[in-house]
Amino acid sequence: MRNLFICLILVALIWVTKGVPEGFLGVSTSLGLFVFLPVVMARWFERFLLPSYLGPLLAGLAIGSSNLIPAWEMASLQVFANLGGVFLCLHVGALLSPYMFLNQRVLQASALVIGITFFVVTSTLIAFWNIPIHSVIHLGLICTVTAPILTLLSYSDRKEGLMVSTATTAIALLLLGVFRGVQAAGWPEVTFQHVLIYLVFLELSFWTLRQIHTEHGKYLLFGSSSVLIFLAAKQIGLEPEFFALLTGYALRIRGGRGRLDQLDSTRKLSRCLIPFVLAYLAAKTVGPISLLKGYEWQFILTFSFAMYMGKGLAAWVASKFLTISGRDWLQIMPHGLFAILLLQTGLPEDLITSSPAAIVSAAILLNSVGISLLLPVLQFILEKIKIRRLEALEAP
Amino acid sequence: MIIAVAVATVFVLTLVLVPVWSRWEMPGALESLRLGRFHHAFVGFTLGSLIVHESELGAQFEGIRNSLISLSLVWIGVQAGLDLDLSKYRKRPASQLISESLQSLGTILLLFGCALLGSTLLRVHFGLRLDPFLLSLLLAISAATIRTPDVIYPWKGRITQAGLNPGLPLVVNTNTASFVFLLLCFPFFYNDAVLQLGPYTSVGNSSTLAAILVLGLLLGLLVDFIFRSFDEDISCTYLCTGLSLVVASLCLALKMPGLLVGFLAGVWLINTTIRRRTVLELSERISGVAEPTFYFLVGSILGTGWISEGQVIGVFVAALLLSRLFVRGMGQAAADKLQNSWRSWIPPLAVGLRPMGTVSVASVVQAYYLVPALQSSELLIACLFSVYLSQLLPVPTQGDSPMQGQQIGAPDSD
Repeated sequence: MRNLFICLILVALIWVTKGVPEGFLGVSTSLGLFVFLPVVMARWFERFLLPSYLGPLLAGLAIGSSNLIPAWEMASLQVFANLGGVFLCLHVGALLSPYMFLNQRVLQASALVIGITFFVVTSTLIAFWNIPIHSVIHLGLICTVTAPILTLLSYSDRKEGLMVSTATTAIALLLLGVFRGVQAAGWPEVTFQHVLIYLVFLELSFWTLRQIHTEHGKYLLFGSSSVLIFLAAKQIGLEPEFFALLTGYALRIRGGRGRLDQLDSTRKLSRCLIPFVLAYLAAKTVGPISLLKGYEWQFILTFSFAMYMGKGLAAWVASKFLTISGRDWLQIMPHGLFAILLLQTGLPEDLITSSPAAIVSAAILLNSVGISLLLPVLQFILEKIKIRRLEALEAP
Repeated sequence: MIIAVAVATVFVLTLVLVPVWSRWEMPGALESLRLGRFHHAFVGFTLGSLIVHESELGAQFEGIRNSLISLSLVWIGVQAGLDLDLSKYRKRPASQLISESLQSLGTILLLFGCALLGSTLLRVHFGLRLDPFLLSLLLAISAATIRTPDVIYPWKGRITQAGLNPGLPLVVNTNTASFVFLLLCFPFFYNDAVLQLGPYTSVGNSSTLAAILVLGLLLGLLVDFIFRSFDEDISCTYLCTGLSLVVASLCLALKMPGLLVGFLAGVWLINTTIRRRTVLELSERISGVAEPTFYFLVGSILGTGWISEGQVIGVFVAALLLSRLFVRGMGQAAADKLQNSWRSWIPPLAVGLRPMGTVSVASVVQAYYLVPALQSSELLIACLFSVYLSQLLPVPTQGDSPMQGQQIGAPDSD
């Protein structure tokens, strides 16, 4: 009730300050709502034993569709969401162990997931939709991305599933980066000078991090690094979140065998930022789903269905050769933060649609929210199947 | 590009200086400045001077900066409010509370008088248009308050924390008394506020007081709710920051003093929350991030336009420190005489030389976010110089023992 009271106060303040000429007031009030409501909803979903990340996604969709916050205020909040995303991705990148990619089982599983899903999705789109091949490949690669951060939030006990999900997403992002570079359509303007400055910055950051042992010093340094990475990404035309992921991973590799404890200590703040970033992304992409035409819904359902078929087939094939439990395989199903970011910027340009935002919103509803709601049910079914098999084996 | 170079330079400096500071035993004066966040203000001043030239980025930064400064002011007020724990004051004899409250009140009133005498000159030289009574009130509060924690740099020996000997009773904190006085007087001196929130408009002293009370209590209540609902410290911090940003922005839009709103919130919180220890521990940890950020942002406001008024600034600084020394010292001397605890002039001198701190800076910064807003940075730079000079001045202690220094410092500390 207390949390509900706070949410109501915030909504009332936003409504009252809508007409106030000072722009920052509306932005700050909206920011407060984005900070608070997703966290509260995440807790509510957790109490009902559902994935906690559903709360922020639905909170974002609710805020976006309520028309409470004007479009220009949403645009003003972009920089905060970017900075939050950068901080989060810097931390996530630093958590990635390089040795995970040397694990053969994980690599084999990821390769199977990417290969089969990509094949099924591209085949389906080519067969049923008249879309140019480069757009099909782009969408196919996006469909192979999973949700490792969301798995870490809600299913952290699924260790193998988390590793497969992480490796799959990392390889898919790498392939996407290479594909876009080959296309030369969205290649960032990187010169040798930029690379040199980046390497010097990495080394400086590493040594500075090692020197700082106070809690507030770590937060201040991480905050400054996030701002710097954000500015650098804007300068060269790269998405800040992906650049931060790369930087965090580079720091992890630089650290060698020993993990940087200074990076671990910011874990709690990163977990607080996830609801805000997810909610903002969901709110930003809300479009008038009700106005989607029949063929647009068909397109969404087609590639979503193809994606689940591909991932399900990959899991079935891989389970014949690898001993990974079914519940771990379920973690590769949903789309997460990176997929949503990619969908916002990577829809096929040739797809004639009246509302790309609505298509992305519908895709989020299906592939992030819908499938995540089904995950507990699917896990329950898998457990039942497993128990029946065991009973059948034990029966005389 | 220049921003990236500047921030990278900060990185390099941090990389070089952190191991130096951790190994080098700094002289007391430099340590006192370091504790006063001088280096953060300096970095902010340097980066602020660079950002101004990049106009598009400067405009974006200014919008965010004002909101963050308002948030910092609210936070500083909350910190001050957390000191007003009524349960501790109830345990003390009323006569002691009254005598020390009167001492603080007398100090503030005398400083108010001094500031009022000089306010005409300030308005002429610094171009200030704020109401002279209000300006004098803020300057008096700035001069009356001390650094917390009360760290002193003695004539001999190392930096010590002047505080109560555990055996001595708790007394009224000068900073707390200053805030209470500011809260009581502010609505009567602040005549230019027109409150307009959505369809509602209100003018007058009572509406100003009501707005401050409502915002302060609302913030305190909401923060208390957060602490009751969430167990993790970082979640509480994150959510409280978000809410405080909302309230701080309201204060900025309504031209209300965020310091007082935060103070009321802090008072409500410390006297009603069930997680008192968590709140106090968290507030210390948050200060480690909030204070450097505040000084950085304040430094970024300064610019270089104040250099031409260097002489006037110097005179102001000298006048402020001397009047502070005289008034606070005489107040302590009078109190010692009345209580028959007079020993020598050293305790009053020590009280008069107590360094100023964050609250002093915040009081002056608050003047920049009232109506009419101050435009030039001369007053702010003068205040900063006063604060850092007061932190450089050594404080005499009676005898050689730091514990005796603690006993002398009793009336102005928690």
